[in-house]
Amino acid sequence: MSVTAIPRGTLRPYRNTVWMVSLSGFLLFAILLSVGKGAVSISPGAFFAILGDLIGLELPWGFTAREQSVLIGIRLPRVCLGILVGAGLAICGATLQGLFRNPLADPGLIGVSSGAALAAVAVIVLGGGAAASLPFLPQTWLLPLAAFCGGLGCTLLVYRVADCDGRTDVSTMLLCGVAVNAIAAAGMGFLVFISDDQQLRDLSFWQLGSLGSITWEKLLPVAPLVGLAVFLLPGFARFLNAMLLGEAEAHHLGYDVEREKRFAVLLVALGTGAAVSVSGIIGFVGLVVPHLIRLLIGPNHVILLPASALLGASLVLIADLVSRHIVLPAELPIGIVTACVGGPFFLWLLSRRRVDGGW
Amino acid sequence: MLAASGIGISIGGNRILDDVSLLVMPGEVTAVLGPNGAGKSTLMNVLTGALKPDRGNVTLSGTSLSSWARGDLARLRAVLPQYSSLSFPFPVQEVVLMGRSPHARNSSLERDLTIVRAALRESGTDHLEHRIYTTLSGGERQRVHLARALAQIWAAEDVPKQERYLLLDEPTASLDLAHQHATLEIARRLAENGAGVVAILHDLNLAAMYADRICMLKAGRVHAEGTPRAVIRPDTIEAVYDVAASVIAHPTRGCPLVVTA
Repeated sequence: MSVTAIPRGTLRPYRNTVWMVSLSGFLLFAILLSVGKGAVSISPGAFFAILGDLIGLELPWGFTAREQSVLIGIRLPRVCLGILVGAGLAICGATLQGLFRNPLADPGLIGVSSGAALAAVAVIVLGGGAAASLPFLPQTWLLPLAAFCGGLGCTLLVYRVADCDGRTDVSTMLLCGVAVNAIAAAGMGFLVFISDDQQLRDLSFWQLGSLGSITWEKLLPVAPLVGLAVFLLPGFARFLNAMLLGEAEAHHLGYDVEREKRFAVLLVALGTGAAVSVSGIIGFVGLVVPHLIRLLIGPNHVILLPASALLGASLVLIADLVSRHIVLPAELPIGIVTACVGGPFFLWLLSRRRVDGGW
Repeated sequence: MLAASGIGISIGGNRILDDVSLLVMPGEVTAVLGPNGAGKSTLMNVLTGALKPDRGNVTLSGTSLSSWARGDLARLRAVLPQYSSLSFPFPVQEVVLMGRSPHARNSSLERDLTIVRAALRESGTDHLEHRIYTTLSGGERQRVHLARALAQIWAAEDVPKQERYLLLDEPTASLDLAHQHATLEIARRLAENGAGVVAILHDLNLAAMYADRICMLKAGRVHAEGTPRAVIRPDTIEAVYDVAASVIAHPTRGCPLVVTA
C-alpha cells in the first residue's frame, strides 16, 4: 500500500483547521448579529467603522454618534460578556466531562454553578460588611472571587464523593449534584428570606441568568478570570484524553495525575465562578455545547476544548439575542432560553443512552 | 532489569503481600501465577508504581521507581490494564495514538501515526484502525489497548536502544483461544527483541508454553519461582491451588502440560 495515500477517517490536522475556521466564522456572524439587532440597529459596516475609529483607523463606512454610544456603552460590553460566559461555561463543561470521564458532567447539573451562585448571593445580601472588612479589594472583584471559592468548594466536594477508586459512577455524581443543588438552594432561600426589597429584585433577576446591565467596569474583573480558564484549559487536552482511559492509565502514560487534576479543577472553578458571578446561572451551556462538538467533530480534547469555547460563545450570543427579542419591549432572562433548549436535550441524551447501552 | 525486593504491603489491616521479590529480566517473559486473592494484582500495582509498598522497593534499571522522572519512565515502560474505562467514541487510531503521548515532545504526528499503524499490525488489529472504539467487542478492545501499550514503548530505529518493559495484567482474560495465543506470541516476540515482559496469567498451560520464568504466589508470598519445568509440578499445583493434577510433557513443544484429575 502506498504510504502517501491518507486512508479515509485518518486523523487529519487540516480537518480540525477547517472546523476551527468554520466555527470562528460562525462566532463572527453571531457577534455581528448580536451587535446589530436592537432598538437602534447597527450595520456590520458601521460596527467595523466604529471599532476602526476607536483605534484611529478610518474605514469607508459611516456611522452616527447615537450608533457609536449604543455600541460602545451597551452592545459591546454585552457581547464581550456573552463571549466570555459562553466560551467559559462550554470549555469548563468539556473539561469536567473529561475529568469525570462522563459526558453528563455539567457545571450546572453537578452543583458547581449553584455553589458559585450561593457564594455570590451571600456577597450581594451580606456584602456590605464583607466589603468594608476588605478595603483593599474593590467591590467589583469581591463577587467573582467569592463565586470562584463557592464553585471550587462544590467541585471538590462532588469529586470526593463521586470518585471511587479512579472511576466515577454516573448516578452517584448526578445524585451528588442534586444534593449540592438542594443545599445551595436552601442557602439561597435563606438569604432571599433575610434580604430587603431592592436586594430581592436584584437577586431574582441575577439568579435566572442575564447578560443585561453589564458595564465595562463590571466586566473588568471577570474578563481575566474567565480568560485564564479559556486560554489555559486547552493545554490539558492530552491529559484529559489520557484520563478517559482511566486514572491509572494516565499515570502510566507519565502524567502527574493529582497535580494536573488539581490545576484543571481550579481553572474550572475559576471560569465557572467568574461567569456565574456576573451573569447568574446560565444552565446547560456546558452540557449541550461539548456534546454538539463530539457529534460534529469527535471526542478528542485537542479539538473539543477550543471548538467548544467557540461554539459556546456563539450559542450564548444567539440565546441572548432571542431573550432580548422574544418578549419586546421586556427582556427574558437568558437562563430561561438556555434551559428551554438544554433541558429537552438532556432528556434526549438520557433516553438515547439506554438504546446505546451506556457511554 | 525491573526488580522488586522484599515487598510487603497491608491494606485495611490485611497483609496482602509479604516479603515478595521478583526479577523481570530484559529478553524474558515472566509470568505471575496464583489463585484468586494471592496478591497478583497488588504486586502488579506495586511494579507499576501505582501503589507504594510498606516495605521493600522496586527498581528499574537500578534506579528506584520513585526517583524516575514520570515522562522518562512512561517512554520505556507500558502497562496493559485488565480493564479500561474508556467510554467515549474515539476512533481506534486515536486510542492507540494516546500511547504516544509521552513522546509528544520529540516526535511528530506523522511519525507517531506510522508507529500506531505498525503497532496495530503487530497486535493483529489493523483492520479495526478506523472503527469507533465503543463499537468493538471486549476482546477487540483488549487488543486495541495492547496496540496502545506497544506503541508507547515502540523501539523506533532512529532512537538509541534502551531497556523496555511491558506489564500485562491478565492480558488473556477476555480473549478467545486463538487471541490468547496471539497475545502471548506478541509478548514473546517483544521479549526476543530485548524487552522485559511480566504478565499475570491464570492459565498454567499458557504460562508453561510462553514464559521463561514463573513466579507462583500463594497468600501473598512467593511459593515457587523458576523455569516452567521447575515450577509447574504436581506438588506445587496441589500446594498452591489445592487441586490434584498430573503434569505431562506437551506432545509437540515439550514444555509441561497440566492435566487436572
